[in-house]
Amino acid sequence: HAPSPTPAPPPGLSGGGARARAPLDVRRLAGLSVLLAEDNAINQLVAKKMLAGLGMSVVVAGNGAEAVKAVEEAAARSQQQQQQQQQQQGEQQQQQQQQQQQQQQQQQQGGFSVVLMDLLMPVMSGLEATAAIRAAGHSVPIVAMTANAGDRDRAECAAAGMDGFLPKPVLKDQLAGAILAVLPREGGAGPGAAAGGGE
Amino acid sequence: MADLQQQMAALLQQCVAEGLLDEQFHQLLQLQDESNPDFVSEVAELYFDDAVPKIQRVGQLLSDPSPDFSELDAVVHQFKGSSASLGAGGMAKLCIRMRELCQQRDVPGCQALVLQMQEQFTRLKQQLGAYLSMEAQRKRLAAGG
Repeated sequence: HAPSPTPAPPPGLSGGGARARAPLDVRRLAGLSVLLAEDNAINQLVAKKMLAGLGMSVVVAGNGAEAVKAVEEAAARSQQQQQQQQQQQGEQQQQQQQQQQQQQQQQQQGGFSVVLMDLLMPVMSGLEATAAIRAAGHSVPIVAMTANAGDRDRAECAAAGMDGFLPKPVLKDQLAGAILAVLPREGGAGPGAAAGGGE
Repeated sequence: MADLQQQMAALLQQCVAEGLLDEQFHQLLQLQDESNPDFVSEVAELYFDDAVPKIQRVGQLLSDPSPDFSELDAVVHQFKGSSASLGAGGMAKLCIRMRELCQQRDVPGCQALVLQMQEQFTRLKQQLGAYLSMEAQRKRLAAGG
């Protein structure tokens, strides 16, 4: 019985490449919320600064277990807000329905627009945390952050349920590109196609 | 002011030429703005404070007759990440090499390398410290008119 070959990573995990791409529309990132799962204080500081520069609001988790908890709590808050808004009545019902659809999507995603997940963390690794988040039914886009950028590592990330891949050290343009690549397309369709990393 | 800026640029070039700093440090400089004018010095100070106990711990682990290579690898991995984030490329490369030697259980090799790490850190702190002092002076001059 021949061993199964290592599965090729999906396109979304191909990471940063040298292909020419359209300019990044980083305006899409302004106002979005991101969960940064990273145990290294210096990496946290640098990533937070980059994300703030992109206009994103950042919540930090120091390990995989905190990340899972943060996603679940954000999803619960999002569901509560959705229920409160459903109770409101008024003339702008159509707009409310649209908001509810967006909130449903946000609820499924766990309240955060994206999760940046370091792989090697104490208590619970990034792969374990991702598997736990997926097992709980949350579809929030998750981008792996790691210095190990080999094909095998990318395949492991894909198997755990990650959507993107970002090599370390993180560069600001690559960060923006990796997040944009996993966000739902404008209009609410599934995650954007193309490689996970920016230029 | 112009002379000071030239000196700063020259010092940075020297740090890059020596392999102390890499492109990532330039990324940090570009991240610094009015909302966080001390961002780079904050990151650098955090790195310096973090590096000392890590290098010491590496030395301690290697002085043990039976080094715990698992812990050693974990410490060096963390230090590599911090170094790479700061832009301390030379130190990051030493960490990568240290991890390779850990996998080979090469204690003499690791011990020789930790001496290099100590020397690299001393030089980095000296040069980067000088740069940050000049940066502080530049800000004072800019604020004064």
